[in-house]
Amino acid sequence: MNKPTKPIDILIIGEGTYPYIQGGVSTWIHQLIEGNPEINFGLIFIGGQKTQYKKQMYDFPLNIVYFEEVFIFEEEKLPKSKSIKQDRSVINQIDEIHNLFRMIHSSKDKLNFLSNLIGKFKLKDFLYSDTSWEYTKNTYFDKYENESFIDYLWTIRNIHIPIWNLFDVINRLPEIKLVHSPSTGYAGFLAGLIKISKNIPYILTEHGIYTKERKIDLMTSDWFTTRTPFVNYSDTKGNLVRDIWNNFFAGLGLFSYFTADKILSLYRKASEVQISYGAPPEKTDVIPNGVDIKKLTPLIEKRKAHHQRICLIGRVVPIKDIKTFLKAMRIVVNKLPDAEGWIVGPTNEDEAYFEECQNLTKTLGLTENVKFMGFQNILDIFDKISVNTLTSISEGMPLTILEGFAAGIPAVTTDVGSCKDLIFGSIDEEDIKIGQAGFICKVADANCLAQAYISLLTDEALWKKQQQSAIKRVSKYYTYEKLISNYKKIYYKALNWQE
Amino acid sequence: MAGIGFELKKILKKESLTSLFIAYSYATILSAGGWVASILSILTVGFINILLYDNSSDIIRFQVSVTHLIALSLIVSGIHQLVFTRFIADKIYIKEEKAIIPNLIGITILNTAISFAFIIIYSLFALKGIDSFYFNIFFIMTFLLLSNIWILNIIAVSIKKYKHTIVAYFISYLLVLIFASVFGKYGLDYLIGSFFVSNIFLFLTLLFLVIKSYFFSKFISFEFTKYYKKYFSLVLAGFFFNLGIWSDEFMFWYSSTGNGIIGKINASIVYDLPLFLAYLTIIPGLAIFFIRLEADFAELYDKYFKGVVNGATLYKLLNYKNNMIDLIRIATKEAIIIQGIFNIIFYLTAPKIINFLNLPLLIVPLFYIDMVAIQLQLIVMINLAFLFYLNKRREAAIVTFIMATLNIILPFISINLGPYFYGYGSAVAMLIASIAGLLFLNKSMMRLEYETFMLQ
Repeated sequence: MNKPTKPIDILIIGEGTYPYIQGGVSTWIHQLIEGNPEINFGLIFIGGQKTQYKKQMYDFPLNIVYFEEVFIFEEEKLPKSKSIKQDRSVINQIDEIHNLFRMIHSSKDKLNFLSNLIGKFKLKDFLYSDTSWEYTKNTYFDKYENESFIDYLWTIRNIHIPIWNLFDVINRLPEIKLVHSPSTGYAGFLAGLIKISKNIPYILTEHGIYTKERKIDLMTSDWFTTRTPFVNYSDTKGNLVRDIWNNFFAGLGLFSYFTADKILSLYRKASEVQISYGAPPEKTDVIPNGVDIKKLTPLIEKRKAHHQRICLIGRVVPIKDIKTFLKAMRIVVNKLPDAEGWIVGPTNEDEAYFEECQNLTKTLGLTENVKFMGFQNILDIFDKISVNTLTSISEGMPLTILEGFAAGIPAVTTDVGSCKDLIFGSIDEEDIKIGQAGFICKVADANCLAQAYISLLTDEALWKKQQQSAIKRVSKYYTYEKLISNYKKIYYKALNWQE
Repeated sequence: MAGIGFELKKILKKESLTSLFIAYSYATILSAGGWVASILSILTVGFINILLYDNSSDIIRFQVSVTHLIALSLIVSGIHQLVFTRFIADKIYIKEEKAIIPNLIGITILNTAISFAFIIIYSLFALKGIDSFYFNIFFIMTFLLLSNIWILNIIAVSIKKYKHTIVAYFISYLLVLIFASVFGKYGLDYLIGSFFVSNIFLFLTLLFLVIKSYFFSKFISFEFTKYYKKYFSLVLAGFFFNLGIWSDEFMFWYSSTGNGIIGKINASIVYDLPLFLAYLTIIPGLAIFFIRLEADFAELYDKYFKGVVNGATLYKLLNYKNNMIDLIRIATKEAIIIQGIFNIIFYLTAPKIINFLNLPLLIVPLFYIDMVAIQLQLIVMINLAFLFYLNKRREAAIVTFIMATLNIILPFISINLGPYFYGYGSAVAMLIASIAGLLFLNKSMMRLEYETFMLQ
């Protein structure tokens, strides 16, 4: 265990994000830490396996005084298998724990009860003991008797194994004053456990609702697939596995909601979803993302002409639905043969999907018009394009849209996450009055997207009007300064500090 | 022995008496293995020779020395038998067949070295005062041959050369009979020489069978020795099993009941013959069981594991398991019933048989108790076969250990209690070992799915 270099004020727990993975959440964490230089941050990274995370993508700001990593799916760390006999009374205790989580109503002594059980009932007991076997068998017969048993067992194992690692972390944790988690899941669960055991405030910010995307990430970790090559997650057979994961994560989510003192989201719709999932409404609040306007504003001047270019900034993965963008581009090129579509983002995350996209580009005869640019610095991109687009099937609050706004680029997106709010305005009356900063289409509606692209590329007056709306909206509601000051308020209040 | 089940089923499908007979001969020879065949043949040699030449003293010397050779070579090579079978099976499973021949050469060298060291020390003690140079040489060479034949036999069967193996055995023991009948009149050296030459034929045939089956690039490899550490329980089980089968014999040979037949090689006239006769009665039960195990149980076991991997419901898996348990019950019951029927026949006809063989009627009671002991030994063998199938190596090793130690201690006690108690020692030893085996088997089956899922 690392020793903190200074006393820790706030502990941030990230699951599969900062500092190893680039993306919205990581940027947001980095912004928060940099924007509060007077606060000492501790950081816990939760990952699947060490090997999945090669190098840090961010340089730590000086006020990160403590960094700890937990890998929850390390096979080497599993105890050696051997037959274990156990006292039958443990079964009742396991039952009690499950009920405790089901009743989602927890208090300190119950957590102690849980720590006691975890102390008595070690990971090797969970994995190999006869009581654990009895328990698993009984629950299987209760709920899933017509499903594949091996899939059930491995799913149960996989979702439980991390719990012991997480408890380990609590026992080794230095003193902290506040815990902040950017998601529910294991990170939010750990934060909740820390909150109860140390009796400190817990702030939860959800960037998206802990979507299927994240669960599939965990499930397809190497560890998982090598241990169970016969588990496949296709729709035909993955139902049982998916159900269990969903229930489990819903449970973790509820635990987070009930332990957190504040439940934040990026936009109103997300807040509503949180409440529908069981978050107490009085705890919820919205703090949108913010972008660095100063960095991006010069690009407005730098743009020399109305380029015939549409740009999609995002990873080349199925959730971004690049294929719909390609189909839309085909329609655009029919009308504007010189139009170009740029896809800016890493292509190595899902090689198979990338290959499919390249083949589709060839099939549609778009090799002249569509370019996969890989990862680029956005400052080199925004002055060369006229439309910023996202065709995703799921989003939270995409930073690239806001960054595009700051650089004076209207956006055309699918109606997911907060995209509609960003393009039409939603924060208050005034925000709506600012007007449209682009267009919204239904998911996978290539035709609608194409028409929007065409109108923005051909109608320069419309484009100018929407550009102004975009610049106004982002400067008023979505600045980095605003984000930092919002969080400063929350932090200081929770810590009882005077600003 | 995976694969033999399929072969047997194929033969049995024809549903004729001949096919049934063929299947059971297969099963007999493959399960009872070389020792029954060889004992059968030396008894026959004796029978024919005595008829032809009436050279009973030489024949007895021949039979006794060959019996010792078989017993000792089985015990010495027992160390390797199970481990090496496992090694070959694994290599076939991971499709690394090219490793088979080099390792076969390797184990032949290692086994020959160990056997040679043993037989030299043994000969210094046992062959004292035998001046026939030929006998000494044949004795030592035959030991080395037999020791390697037992291992080769296992490999030949492992790689599914059933028919050829059986034919090889049949021809070579026919040769023993022919040579011994022709040259028997020239005395002991020629008898053991005949046995030696016939076993050379068997050894070379088996070797040829194996070598021509596989491609190999390396000539020699000792990779298999890794398995001795990894599967030490199999080393012990192989050794103790063979020791346990023969240990009561040795107790009698080297006690007050035994006497020197040739050099220090002893026999126990009272004990040996009834036991060998009883041994031959084990054949039907063994054959029946073998078909059950290799044809039916193998299939159920396969079903169970395929079910596990392919995502069957637990209810279905427990069903498969119960089918396995039923089959173990059926197989055990069948072996007992079939064996029982034969026992009754032998029980009723024993005096007549023993009369026919010109043996003293004194041994009839001993023959009876030996039959009980052998029947219990059959159950031990059945338990062991299932335990190996379920990969319960440690448990199998414990059962063989119980069998071996008790089959030393209890016969020793029964010898001291007097002739009335002969045979009871071995019977009680086998009874205890079979109960231990059944208990282990029961526990293994009870815990099968727990161990499958939780401790894989």
